[in-house]
Amino acid sequence: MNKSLKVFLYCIILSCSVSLVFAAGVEEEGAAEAAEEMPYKGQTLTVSMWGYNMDLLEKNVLKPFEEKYGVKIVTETGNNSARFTKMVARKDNPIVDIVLFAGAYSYKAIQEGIVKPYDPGKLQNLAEIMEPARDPLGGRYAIGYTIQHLGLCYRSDKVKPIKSWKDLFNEDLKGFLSIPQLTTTYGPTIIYMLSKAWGGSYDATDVGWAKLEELSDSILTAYARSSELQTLLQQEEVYAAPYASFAWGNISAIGLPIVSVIPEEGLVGSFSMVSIANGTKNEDLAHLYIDHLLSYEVQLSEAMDLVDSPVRGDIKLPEDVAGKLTYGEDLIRKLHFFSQKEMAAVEKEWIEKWNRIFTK
Amino acid sequence: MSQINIRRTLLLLLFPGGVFLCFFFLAPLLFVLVESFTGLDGGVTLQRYISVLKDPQFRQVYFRTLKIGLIVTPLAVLISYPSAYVINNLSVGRKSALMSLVILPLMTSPVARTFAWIIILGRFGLINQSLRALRLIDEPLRIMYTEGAIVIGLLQLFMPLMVLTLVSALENIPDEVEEAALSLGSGRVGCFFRVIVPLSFDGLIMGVTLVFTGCITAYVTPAILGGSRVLTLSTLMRQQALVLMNWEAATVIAVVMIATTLVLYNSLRLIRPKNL
Repeated sequence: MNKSLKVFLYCIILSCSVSLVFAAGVEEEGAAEAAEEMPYKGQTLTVSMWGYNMDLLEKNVLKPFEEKYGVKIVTETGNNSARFTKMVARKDNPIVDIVLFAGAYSYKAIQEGIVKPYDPGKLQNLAEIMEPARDPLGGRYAIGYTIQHLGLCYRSDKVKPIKSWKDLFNEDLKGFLSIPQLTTTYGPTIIYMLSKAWGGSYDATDVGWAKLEELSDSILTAYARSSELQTLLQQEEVYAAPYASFAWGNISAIGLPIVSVIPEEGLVGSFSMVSIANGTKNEDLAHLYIDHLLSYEVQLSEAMDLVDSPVRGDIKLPEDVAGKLTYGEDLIRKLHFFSQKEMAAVEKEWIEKWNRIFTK
Repeated sequence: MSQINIRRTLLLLLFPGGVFLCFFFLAPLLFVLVESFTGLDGGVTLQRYISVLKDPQFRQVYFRTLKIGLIVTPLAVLISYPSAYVINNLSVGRKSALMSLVILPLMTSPVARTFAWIIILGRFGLINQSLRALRLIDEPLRIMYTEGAIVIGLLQLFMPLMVLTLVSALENIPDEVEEAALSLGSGRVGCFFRVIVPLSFDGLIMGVTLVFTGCITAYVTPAILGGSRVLTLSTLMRQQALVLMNWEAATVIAVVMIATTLVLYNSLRLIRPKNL
């Protein structure tokens, strides 16, 4: 072998060795970086939530979080009361890490001690959401991750236009009206809105109750969940109803001439809230999940799919999507938020009154 | 095998079922019963019963539930007895084919079944469309969200149970008994009422108990077909337990439901023909 060939071979061997050592170093560094990026890899986070629009929630919220952090999300779905009861029963040995409730049940959850305060320092996106959503119940127990409203809708081809809550008393709606049951998120607000319409103030609840009794003859049935209202409208059993804005995507997809209106008395606003379960062993991961829920990407994709209206101020939506959500300064200014504490205080008495009227 | 060995084998065979029932039926039942008589101070009290039974709304709901049970159960007997009698007298092949048809509704989810009723009973449902096509009505009848809708739904839901228990009771009656009655001069109808019905009375009691219990404890059917207007014991109990967290009232309602069923079961046993 001549000298130059020897030198050439040495160079090749040397460069290969250097590359191997370098590659190994890079690999180790990469693995360390990955471990640093995914410190929760393999962990499981249990989220208690509603099952409505589950396929879209899976696509927009759950899957991206699982992929981002390498964790597995287990969901426990059901309505507010069933999930709340389970959490109270398992209070001493909780299995849920994150819970999503309507305002009334978030309030009850605080009273029962099944949720704990969040740490604002761990939530980068908290500053990006509207101020009232950051701590709607006080004590930093819950965050409003989506905003909704209760509007009125009616069949424009079957009944006279509706502009006010007073119009629900129109003759052509007798037997063709539905309202949310008192035990649902918006149930008690029906009384407040009737009080405002006929008594001039939200506090005139005696007037509201008297008017509900009068209206009860027109009400075919009170619905327990939005999917039930959707069926009632689809089967043409009812022609008008107060509806929760998150259901508008599905209602408008029925294909019947159903019109949504902002009544003269204004709109009832509410937040769906997220809280960290008391006794969770995954507190940091739970904070990351909440931050994810409030992130630009999740809020935008949820809004674009008409699942949840955003609480972030930097989300810009196309007009056709915006019109179907609780979105825009003008609309949000018209929202009235009722005190969960006040509603909880009268709950028992109001349910008894409601049962008396509807089981006559 | 000696008498002691037989007894030991029987006890062994009963053991798994017995243990299961003790843990998952008797113990919770006992817990509910004890809870319903426990006061806030931990002592024995009737206070919970007094406050629930004094409530006029509870009484209204209780009698409504009872009324629905007392309408559905006899209707189920009336419809099921002739069917069970015919099924029992068929050849083996036809009998199993018809029994499969009877069982079929039990294989579908009660929720799916109840939603199907909405389509049938609705304003533009099958019944109203048919009646309008026959020009029997001008305006659609209001069937959904009434007690009538609950009766129809429960009847369809529990009729298979009645048919099944009656067929198994009729199977135990030897063919010769009916033949003997007929050869001794009894007519078909007389034979049915004086021989077949008394001999299948135990099955009838079982069927009536199952259907009646099902009616007063059913939740999905009354909740969906009755809507918000027709509250029954089970929908009231759910409201008390899951919405108001009033477990005191819910336990009392549960005990009242069980007591009502037991009273009916034992009353039927009392009227059972003595010579059987």
